[in-house]
Order: sequence, then C-alpha cells, then structure tokens
Amino acid sequence: MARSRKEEVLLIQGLEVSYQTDRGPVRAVRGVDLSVREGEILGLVGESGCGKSATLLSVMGLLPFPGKVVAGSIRVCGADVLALSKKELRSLRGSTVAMVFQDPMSTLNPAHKIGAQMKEALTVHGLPCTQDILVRLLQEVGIPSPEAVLGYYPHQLSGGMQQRVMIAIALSCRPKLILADEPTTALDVTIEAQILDLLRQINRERGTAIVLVTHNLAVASQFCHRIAVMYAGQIVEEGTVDEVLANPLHPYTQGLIGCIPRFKKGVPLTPIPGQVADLSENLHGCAFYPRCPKREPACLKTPQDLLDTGDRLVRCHKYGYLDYAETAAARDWGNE
Amino acid sequence: MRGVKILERALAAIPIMLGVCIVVFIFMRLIPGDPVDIMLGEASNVTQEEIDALRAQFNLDEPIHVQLTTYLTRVLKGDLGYSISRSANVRDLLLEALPATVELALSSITLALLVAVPLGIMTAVRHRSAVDRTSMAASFLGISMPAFWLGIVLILIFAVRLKWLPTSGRATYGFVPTHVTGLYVLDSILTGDVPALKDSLRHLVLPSIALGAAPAAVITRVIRSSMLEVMRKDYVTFARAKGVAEWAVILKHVFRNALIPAVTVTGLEIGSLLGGNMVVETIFGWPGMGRLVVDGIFSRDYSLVQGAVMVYGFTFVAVNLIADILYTWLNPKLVIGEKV
Ligand SMILES: Nc1ncnc2c1ncn2[C@@H]1O[C@H](COP(=O)(O)OP(=O)(O)O)[C@@H](O)[C@H]1O
Ligand code: SF4
Ligand SMILES: [Mg+2]
Repeated sequence: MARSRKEEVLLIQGLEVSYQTDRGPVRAVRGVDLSVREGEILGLVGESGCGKSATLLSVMGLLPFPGKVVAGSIRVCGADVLALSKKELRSLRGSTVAMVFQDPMSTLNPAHKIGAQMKEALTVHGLPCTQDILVRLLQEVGIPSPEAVLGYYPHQLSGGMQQRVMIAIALSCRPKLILADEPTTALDVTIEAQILDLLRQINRERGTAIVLVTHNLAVASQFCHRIAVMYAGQIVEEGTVDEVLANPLHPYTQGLIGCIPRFKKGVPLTPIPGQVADLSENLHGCAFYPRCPKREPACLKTPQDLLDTGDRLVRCHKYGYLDYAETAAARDWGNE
Repeated sequence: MRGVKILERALAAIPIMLGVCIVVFIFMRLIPGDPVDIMLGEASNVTQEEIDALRAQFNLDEPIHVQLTTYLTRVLKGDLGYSISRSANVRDLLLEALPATVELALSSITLALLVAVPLGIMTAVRHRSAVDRTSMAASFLGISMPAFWLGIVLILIFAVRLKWLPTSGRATYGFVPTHVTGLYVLDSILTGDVPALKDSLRHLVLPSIALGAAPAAVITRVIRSSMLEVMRKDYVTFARAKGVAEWAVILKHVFRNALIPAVTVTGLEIGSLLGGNMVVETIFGWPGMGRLVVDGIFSRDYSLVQGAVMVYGFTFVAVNLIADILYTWLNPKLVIGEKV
C-alpha cells in the first residue's frame, strides 16, 4: 500500500483520548490509526459511545473538558495539530479543516442571523465577505432565495435548511477536509439523502476529503469509499466499502451488518446482544469478547492487534495467520 | 407590529394597577386605627365632637365604597390627595422622593453591573480556578450580608473614621443643582454644575455600595452559571470550529446567549431597589420612597401610601415591559409578551 505523504489530508497515529472523571479516566479512544487522502470519503462507523466524536474533536483540538489527547499524533495536511500554538490551531480550524455537527438545530447560534454567522466564518480567516459571496455560498448548498435567508434567524429555517447552512459555513473557506459528525442523524430520511448527495457532490467537484461519522452502516455503505469500523475506542476493521460489506471479517462488523434493516419481508433484524464495553476499565484481550458469538478463551490472552489480511485490517486473532513481520507492517500502516 | 404589542402590554397593565389600588385602599383601612386616631393618640382632653369633625374633614366618616369612588375619581384627574401626616400634597411628596430613590437605585444597579458582568464572565471562563472560588466565596458573603449592616460599617469606616465621604443626605447644603429631572447627578451634568456633580456623586458612593452589594453578588452568580451552561452548547463548539478567537467566542456566542437570565434578575433587582430600602435610606438620611412609605404606614396616612403604591405598580409594569423588550432582542425566537 504505497502512498505518498503529500496527498494525505489527515493522518492519525496511535491516538489515545482520555476523559479524566471523578471515577477515574474514561479511555474513549485507545490507539486509533486513520489516514484520509485527498478526494477520499472515509466512513467511521460504530455504535454510539465508541469514541467517534472524540476522534474528530481531537483533530480540531476541540475536545471538551475533561477530555485530553494522551498519546499519538495527528497531522492535517502535514501540520502537526497537537504541536500547534493556539493561534495556529485557530487559523487551521474552519479554513483547512471544517466540521459539520450532528444537530443543526443546536449548532447555529440562535441569537445571530444566518448572514452574520456566515460572515464570521470568512472574516476570522481574513477572507473577503460581500453579500454576493454569501449568496453564492448559500446557492452552492442548494438554498432557495438565499438573499432572504441571510436575514433569517436559524429558527426560521427547517432542520434540513439549517444543515445546509452549516455545510455552507463549513465550505466557506474551501477546506481540504470536512469532518462530518453524524450530519444526518437528526434529519428525516428524505432530507438525509439530500444532504448526503450534497456532500458527495462537493467531494466530487472539489476533491474535498470527507470523514463521515455515522452509526448507520447503511448510510456509510452508500456514501463512502472506505470504512473504518470502531468498537470501544479502537478500529476493529478497515477496508474498502465493497470488501467490508460483501465480506465482513470481524464478528462486530458482521453483527452490524446483521443490524441493517432490509426492505425484504421476512428477513429478521439481528441486533448485537449485550452492551458497549465500559471504557473506564482496562481491557484484557479483545474488547468485543463479552458480545462475540465466536469468542474462545484464547481471545482474552493478549490485546488484539490490527492485522493486515491483504485487502483489509482486522482486529481479531482469528485472522492472525500472517507472520510477525507482516503484522508489524500492518500496525505501522499509514506511516509511509 | 412591535410597537402595537408594546402598547398592548402597557394597556393591559391598567386594570392590574386599578386592582392593586383598590386592594391597598381596602387593606389600609383594615389596619386598626385611622389617621385621626394616630394624630390624636397622645392627646387627652379631646372631645368626641372634635374627633368626628376631624374625621369628617378627611371624609373618613363616609362608607368605604363612597370613599373609594371619591378617591378614584380624584386620581383620574391627577389629584393624589393630601398627606395628613406631612401636611403636603401627596403628588409633591412623591415627586420629591421618587427621584431620590430612582437615582440611588440606578447608581446601585450600575455599580452592581460594573462588578457583576466582568466577574461573572471571568469566573465562568476560569471555572474552578482560584479566581472562581474566591469570587464565589465573596459573592456568598455579599448575598448574606444585610444592606443596612454593610451601610453602617461603610459609614463607620469611610465617613466617620477616614472622613473621605459624607455620612448622610443627597447633597451638601448649597450644592443642590438646579431642578431639571430631580436626579442630582443628571441635573448637575445638564446644568454644567461641576461642584454639584462632585458633591452628589460623593453622597451616592456609600449608599450605592450598601445597596448594590447583594445584587452584584446575585447577578455575578447568575451570569456565571448561565454562561457555564451555554458553554456546553453545540453552537459554541461550532464557533470554535470556525476558527473564531476565544474572546470572541465568549462575548459573541456565550455571553450574548447567557444574558437572558441575567436580564431577568437585574430587572427584579431594579424593581426592588425602586421600592426604596427603608432601613438603608434611614441610615444614610436619604429622602426617598422607602422612608416616605414606612412613615405613611405608621401614621395611617392613607393617601400617601396609596399614592406610593401606584408609583410602585407603575415602575413594576415599566421594568417588566423593558425586560420583555430586551428578551425579544436577546432571543429572536420570542415574541413580546411571551414568557421566557
Ligand atoms: N465529558 C465526558 N466525561 C466522561 N466521559 C465522556 C465525556 N464525553 C464523552 N465521554 C465518553 O467517551 C466515550 C466516547 O464518546 P464519543 O466520542 O462521544 O462517542 P461517539 O461519538 O462514538 O458516540 C463515551 O463512552 C463517553 O461515555
Ligand atoms: S478476538 Fe475473539 S472475541 Fe474478539 S472478535 Fe475475534 S473472535 Fe471475537
Ligand atoms: Mg458522537
């Protein structure tokens, strides 16, 4: 898997995030490696609470208190995010990497007009901001009568329109990377499809890389080029969409695919039994063990490594037929 | 549209004020003893005829509903009646006391806001820091310290011992500015009277601190807690994600949205300050509404108390209306008249 560093828009290595709580640290992210290239759409999939948002917020340097990056490195277009000064980080946010949040109704400031909120995104990066520019930005995300909308307050728009405004703001500085944290979870299914189409179109036309976080594998399967499946703060499987969906290797991925409701009658939904692992505890062996239908005593012996099976990475020793050198290479995947 | 709403609200206050007026009218007469009893309380050798004559002079011998109708008719004509205890027109008394209290209230609340706004913001931004903890301890003191006690301590230290500031009154004799609004500070500015300005400011300092301490503490706490709440909102994270500088995030996104509860308590505090704090006004020899009303109640001065209550009703309605207008500006989702 040779790839040049130049086109890597996002490179996360060994990321560990921990929330220091009264009851001890909650290890929300436990060694995540990810890389996203220019023009690529990566889906980050997993049940809620598995550390998807924590991963994205780390990239923005926006982990809320008491969350902290305790290990690892994050590079955005070559810049080492964790080493940047506050000022440098601010100039990166919104301009090189932009974020789209889950609930548009609560993400736009209720006290400011749409126009003012869009204007702010441009002016903080010293970009020109005229009425024409704002109107064009709104047109690009398919908002009808943009001139009027600029004078609206967020509550005067529907959820779908608010999400479009949020995307317009995210796009306003032409970022190289968009981090979309469940951008459609709060929306109706029809609106969801429209918003995803919009994002896909942006990706095609401008080559903007997108990380789409979702707990919905069906959404990821329609939209992404590559999928990384997360469980309990770790990536458990990663590969191209077609490969992962056609032939899921990790028992957790297999379980998730069993969860997708199919529109054929008579095919039952198979939910994954049990609950997401408690992240305040240290894991011994495989994190998925308590819920895994294929578990065996050997699974608890050592922490599971992310193994390269050739077309894919899997964190399950059942695929550990590779020799040591290859395993190590798999772990360092993304370095070069 | 907006103007109409405001007018609607103002008109809706009229029946409320009328109701308050009637209730006070009746309740005052339920307190044992009427003005004549109080006036003649100490005197011996008064004949029943003389008492009856006095009662007749003030229309106190008529049935209560007749007295009420007479009173209301007069009020509509702008005549608030005659104060028996002070031998003066109630309207004149109120017009003299009200500016004194308003000036003190405005100065106290300004002082309170000058302290509370920066402190509230700072304690929220530096949540759990030493600044935060110290300020919260201080504000606890501020809330639990009675204003009159603080007033006495301030007088003892700054007026009696250090002699930096005057002990009482609104102005030194000979320094009263020409009457324009009745607010001495404003009047001396309007007339360009610098010595009077200095003098009235010096008189305002101590009572304003005494009255402003508790509101400052309360408002600080409200701003702090509502800012802490707003800081957790998605739109604050989104603002940061846009690359907005931290101070702008705090002022434009957090503070702005945290203001509504602060406006509510500030309104309440102004409302209660406008009533005039009787004890503090007495300690500082401040000729305001608080003293007037309490004196009026003790001497069963019906017209005086009723007049004062109407002023209260009026200021209450006005303060509420202003707070309402501010709400709609702070939160565009609201329409005037809807409660937050
Ligand atoms: N403020 C916090 N304090 C303690 N734990 C937290 C906090 N915020 C998130 N977590 C924990 O971090 C884990 C990951 O959360 P998150 O990244 O939001 O997951 P996801 O986005 O995948 O749903 C969760 O298990 C959650 O319990
Ligand atoms: S390591 Fe064992 S428990 Fe974990 S996923 Fe693989 S089979 Fe299941
Ligand atoms: Mg999340």
